[in-house]
Amino acid sequence: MEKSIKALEESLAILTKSVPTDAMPKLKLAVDRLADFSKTFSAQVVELHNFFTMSLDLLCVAGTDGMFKKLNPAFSKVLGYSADELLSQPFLDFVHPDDLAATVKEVEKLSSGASTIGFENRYRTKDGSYRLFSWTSVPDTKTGLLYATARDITEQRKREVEHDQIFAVVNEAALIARKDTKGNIIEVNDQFCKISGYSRQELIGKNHSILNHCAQGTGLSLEIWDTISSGRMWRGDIKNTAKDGSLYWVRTVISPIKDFQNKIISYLSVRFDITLEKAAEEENRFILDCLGLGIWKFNPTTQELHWDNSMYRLYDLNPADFSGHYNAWESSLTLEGKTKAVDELGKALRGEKEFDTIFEIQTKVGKRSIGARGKVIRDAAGAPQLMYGVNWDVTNAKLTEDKLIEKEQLLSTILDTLPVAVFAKDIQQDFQWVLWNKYAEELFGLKAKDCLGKSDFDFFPIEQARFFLQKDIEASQSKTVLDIPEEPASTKNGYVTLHTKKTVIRDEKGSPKILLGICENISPQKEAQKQLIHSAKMSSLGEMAAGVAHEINNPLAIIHGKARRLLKVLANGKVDAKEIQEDLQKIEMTSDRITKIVKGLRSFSRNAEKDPMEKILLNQVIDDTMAFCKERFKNHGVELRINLESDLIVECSPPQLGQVLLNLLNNAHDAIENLPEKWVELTCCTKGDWVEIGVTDSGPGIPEAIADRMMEPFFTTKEVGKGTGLGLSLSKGIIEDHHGKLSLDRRATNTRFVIELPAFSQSQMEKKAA
Amino acid sequence: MISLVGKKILIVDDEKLLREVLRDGFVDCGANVAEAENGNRALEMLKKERFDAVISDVKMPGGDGIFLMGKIKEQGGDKPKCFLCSGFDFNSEQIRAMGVVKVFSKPFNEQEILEIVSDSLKSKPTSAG
Repeated sequence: MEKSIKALEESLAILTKSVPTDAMPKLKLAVDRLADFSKTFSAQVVELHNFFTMSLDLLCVAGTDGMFKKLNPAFSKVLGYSADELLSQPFLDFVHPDDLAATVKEVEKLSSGASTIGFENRYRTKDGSYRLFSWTSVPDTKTGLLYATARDITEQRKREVEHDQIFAVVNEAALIARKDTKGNIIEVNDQFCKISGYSRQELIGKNHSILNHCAQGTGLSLEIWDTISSGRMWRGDIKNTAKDGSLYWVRTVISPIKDFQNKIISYLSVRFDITLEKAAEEENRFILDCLGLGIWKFNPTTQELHWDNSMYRLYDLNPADFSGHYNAWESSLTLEGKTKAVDELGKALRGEKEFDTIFEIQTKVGKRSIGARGKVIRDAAGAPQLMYGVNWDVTNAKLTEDKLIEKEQLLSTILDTLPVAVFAKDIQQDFQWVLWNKYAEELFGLKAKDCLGKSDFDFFPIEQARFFLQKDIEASQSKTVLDIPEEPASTKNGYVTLHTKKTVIRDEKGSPKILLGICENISPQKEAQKQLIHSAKMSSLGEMAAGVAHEINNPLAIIHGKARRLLKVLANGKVDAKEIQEDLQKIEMTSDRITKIVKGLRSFSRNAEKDPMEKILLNQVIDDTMAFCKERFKNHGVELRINLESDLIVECSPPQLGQVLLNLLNNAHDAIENLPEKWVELTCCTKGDWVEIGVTDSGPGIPEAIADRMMEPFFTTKEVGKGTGLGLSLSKGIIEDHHGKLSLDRRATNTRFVIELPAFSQSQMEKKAA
Repeated sequence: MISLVGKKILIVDDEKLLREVLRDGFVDCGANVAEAENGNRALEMLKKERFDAVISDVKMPGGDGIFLMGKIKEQGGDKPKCFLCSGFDFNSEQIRAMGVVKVFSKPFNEQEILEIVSDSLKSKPTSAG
């Protein structure tokens, strides 16, 4: 261009030299004008050129032949090719293959004279990537050239696409609505309709109050409106009512939308449905409440302490009575609790340890143990910013724990002071001992440390261990406590008799787990019992003593008298042999009476337990027994009726059977001695294979309650000091040893005891003797 | 030698041989002896006859010695001297209350009985006949 202007100026100079002088002014004028024009034109051209080269937009001229004719440097800058590279190839070569067809079509359109506005296609850059261009082109139909500008809208489009996607996501996730400045809904998204249950038609043009939940009141609406109409953004959770009446919670942001002049033109609300979260939150709150967990937040900088409702309940305080300051909490602690809690809190804040402690507080209703845990939130520098955590009531747990410890101590003390051996064996571990108390140590002469983990077979003779094991198995299969009244055991301290009870403890599946046993050493009792039985016999002997004395008194007086008389007769010399013989016979007879009594007494007082059984005439036993008590009955005016079948034979230990009879007769005597009608009847008869001995007295019978218990050892109705309570139980034992039965005949109108013994006939006796 | 000649003695005991021993002793001393086997029988005899002394056992079926002593004490007039033989001990107050001269404890010595009965009857005139 500058060259062309220079050439023009040179042509003008040549022209000025060659024209006549008179034409010069005119020419000069024309040349000056031309020079002015040239200058102006030149400036315009420069200006145009500058526009062309400096434009950030892409400018080009292309031919309908598909080649760029001219393009500005922006092309090279955007696409990375040199101008020559771009000019040497058809421009279609640079177009994205997908956009080729559309581009060809657009070029054809231009060729036909139509212009293009906003046509978009992608151009490949030198590095292989693509840029998106938006074209505006006009064809010059005379020259067939296309004048085009392109704008690189790659970044803009990227942003648009991104925004679209973001919006699509938000649109999917959130409830979006726009309201005009009067608060009427002008736009809602699908999500809004879906959650609220209203259609667009139902919502648009309506005030938002259509959705307001009555419980929320108008206060909130006013607050929101005040905030947004003053140009600020409002955030918060709102409870709304859907068309079907159900409630939904939305976390909401409402923002005023302003125009370029900062004037509010509408309000945009974005809401997220948090109904489930709210429900979960309520659920959590309920659970925390049920657990009695109180939640607290503490700001160490401001010393502010925030409590939830459960905390107030834990501390028995009204929110009004609690200042919300750290000091208010500290003052609710007991002295001991304060020392501990403040120390622990300090350590937690300094990061020395987690806040996890139990401390004591003083409430209106008394002291309470509080469990506490907390977490410290720190800033980048590590300084505590916030602390939060929970409190809960551990008073009962602590009490329970204390009680449990106390119980355990009590149990172990009981176990160690019990005067019985207590042991336990693990059934699933071959009956190994797992418990062995102090008394067991003493009784067996075995220390717990030596026998735990071992079994009976390690300490007892094999037969005994087998016996114990058999009982263990029996007990572990039994549903009740196995009682072993007498169990012999050899211990390091000698031979003992044990009374053992064994029972099973089952695991949760019901399988036998632990065998628990209790052994009482009954050796001393057994010994004492023997002595007691003997002394019981002696005591009934004592009762008889008076009677016996009487029995002996008379015969003695007779013998004495007769002897003196004989002496006197002899001294006088008037000897009549017959008379003397008679008297001597009487003395002998009377002595026999005494002998009988004395014999009976001896056999009665002797321990007859080991006497052999003998077959003997029952009447003989009865006669011997009567010798003791006849006098006693006589002395108390009690009529003794005896009604015996003869020749009855029983197999017995005569002294023992005699003891039983005497006991029954004496009981009968004692029972009726103060009644107006006094008699005791002794009967004997055969009943099938049994001999029945009945002792009946004139008494009216025995009350049921006493009848049920009277055979028990030590049971007595006699006044203190009179009876041992052993008579009937011993008698019963003796008769049972004789394979017989001793019972109260409850059908009899009077009191009647019956002894039944197996009968032996005379012929049986003879057969046996043969 | 004790003499109870002319004295009438009643011996009450359910034991025949015991009566015999006592009777022989009294008879040897010259006394006139009657026997009864219980208190009621003795009372019958006491109604019919006068006795200088009654020696009775205590425990007897059909009227014991204490019952008998009570009945004799109720009688007015000339009462026989009363003696008891007993396996039980009585104190002096009881003895006085029963109106008994002495209670001989069993087993007794019949010689002692003869002496004491004889002594007690000395201060008393013998019964007629």
